Amino acid sequence: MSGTFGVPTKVAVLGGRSEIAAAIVGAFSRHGGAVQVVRCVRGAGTGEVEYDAAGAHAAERALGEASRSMGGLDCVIVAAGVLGSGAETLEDPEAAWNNSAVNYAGAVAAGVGAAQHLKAHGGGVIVYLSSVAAVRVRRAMSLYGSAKLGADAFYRSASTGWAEEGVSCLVVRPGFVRTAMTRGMEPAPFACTADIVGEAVADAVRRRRWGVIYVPGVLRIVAAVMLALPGSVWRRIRR
Amino acid sequence: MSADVSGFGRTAAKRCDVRSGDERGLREAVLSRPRRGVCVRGAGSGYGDCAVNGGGVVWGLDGSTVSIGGDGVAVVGAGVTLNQLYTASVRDGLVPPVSPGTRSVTIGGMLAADVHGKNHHHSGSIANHVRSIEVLHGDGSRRTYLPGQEEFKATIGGMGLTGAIVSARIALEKVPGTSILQTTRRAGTFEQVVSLMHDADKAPYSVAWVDLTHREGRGVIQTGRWGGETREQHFAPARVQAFQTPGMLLNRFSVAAFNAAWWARAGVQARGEACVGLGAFFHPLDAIGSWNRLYGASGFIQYQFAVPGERVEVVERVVREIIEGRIGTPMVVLKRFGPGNDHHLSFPIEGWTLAVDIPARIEGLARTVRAWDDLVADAGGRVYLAKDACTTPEHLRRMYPQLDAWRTIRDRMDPDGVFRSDLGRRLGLTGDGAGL
Repeated sequence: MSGTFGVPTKVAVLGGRSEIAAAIVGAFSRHGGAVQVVRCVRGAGTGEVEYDAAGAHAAERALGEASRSMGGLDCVIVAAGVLGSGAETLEDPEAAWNNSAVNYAGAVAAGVGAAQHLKAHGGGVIVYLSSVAAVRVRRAMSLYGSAKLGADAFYRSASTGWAEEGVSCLVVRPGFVRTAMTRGMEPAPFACTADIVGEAVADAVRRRRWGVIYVPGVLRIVAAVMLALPGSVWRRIRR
Repeated sequence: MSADVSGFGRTAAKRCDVRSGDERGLREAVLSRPRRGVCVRGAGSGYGDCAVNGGGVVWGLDGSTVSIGGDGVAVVGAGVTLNQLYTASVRDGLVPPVSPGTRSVTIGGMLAADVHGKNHHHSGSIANHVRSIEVLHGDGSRRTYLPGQEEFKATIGGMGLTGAIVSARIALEKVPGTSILQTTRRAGTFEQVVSLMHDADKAPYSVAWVDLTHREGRGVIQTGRWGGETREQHFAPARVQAFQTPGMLLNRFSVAAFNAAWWARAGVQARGEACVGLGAFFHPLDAIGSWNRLYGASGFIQYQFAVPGERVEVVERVVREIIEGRIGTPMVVLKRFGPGNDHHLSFPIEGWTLAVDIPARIEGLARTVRAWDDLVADAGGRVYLAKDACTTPEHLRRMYPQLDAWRTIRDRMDPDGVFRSDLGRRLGLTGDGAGL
């Protein structure tokens, strides 16, 4: 359901300031030639489309505008997300609500809107930027991790129905990615760059390997270990 | 029925609302104004996205008939295949005047793409032989257009975007027999291929098969003229049926082996003039059913371009790049074109045309093709829209100088933009109609 060279050519990015999404578009362009992209962001500037990541109908509206401006749509990258400070969100109900509204409710609404638009265009690809934090939620990232876990599960389950209507879905679980969002934080083991994530996504799309990918790939083993750890051990992990 | 649809190259499949039926059904579909429009699809032999309409209606026109008058003019429904037209006409010593490389095309598709054959340097493209066309418009009306009319010129070659051709009157060619006297020559280098193709202009039919897995770009030149009767079955069904293989099986080693066998076979054929059946001469690839599946799940593109005769160096450069890039491509066809016609989007221009099949999975192919598009456009050439899967609106504007005039006529013929395709959207020939 992608372009001639196996990668999309008309891409909308929900959360258009994401460095990882920009790297994915760059990788699509390296493999597929000309790629049109519309960035959907809050406080849109020239050539961008207004998008409130916590709005119920925001994705639907933004994608309509994006597809009109590009004359079509064959890929939506759902990249909006806020990391938030663990301590702040656990003490402030409003901050907790806002964090979940973007990372879970907004992400799910984005998936529903993206699938509708892509179906109307004869199919396409949804790339959801999840996180390895969604595999098993740590207490230091309770809100972020649990929201990602929920949205991750939504995309994986909904994708079976979407596939029947020509919409493929790729859930990307990167580890620590060195971007502006993580600047100042101590890198976790197996940290990588946005470009590495971009290449991995383009490669999976070209090979039509839908489902879940870990970036780097070794995190699949780490994730298996994380899931196998007894709760008593897991609770002692502070980071 | 909702189904994934792609072109013959099997790239960029899209989910479409696939329907079929006669002209009445098509009229009803057109008048219902589907949100993403209607695309009339023939036999699906267009390589790229010309007969794909993602999210919209794709209509297969059936129930069409052939009748041949005493004057040798056939009245043919658009859904009739070239195979059916041959079968109906050849017994009377008549044949379609232009034949592309396969019989698995419909008359509607042939006209929409203004197809050419091995005789273009003598007979031009199919448009030159059409006496009239009947077109179903977006408002449900059916009108007749004659040669010379702007609507006729915009529709034959217009890739189905001005309206649906539902029938045509085509002047068939009277031939002295039903066999072809075929001459085969081998050339050790690409320069010799070019030189021999110049010489071959005298023959009514000529084509060169070029081996680009060979470092000199050797080739086999075949010419043909009409002969007497032959006992050979003209239109034998496919001898073998291809199945989908992992694309990697078609690599430069396997392709080189195939090309070497082709070269050796040509050595035997080169011993004299051979009398062959029509199918063997015009449509050799039809002997392998569904051969496009050999390229695997990721499919392939066919890059076909034409450049003016004095710019043969563009052809030589593309050939050299394929040889040096070691792109294993089994099917490279070089042909001569005579003068083109004045149809806005008709492909042939006087000079050369090269057609190259390339697996879509090859790394960096998008960049390579983009660079070739630049070369071709700079040389005053163009790519063939029936084969195209990847050119851009900017390149198209440079390649087809009559594009704006075509758009004006198209807007007049289909003001509501009912007839659409993914090719039309990709190249900005039609609107998108994205309603959501």
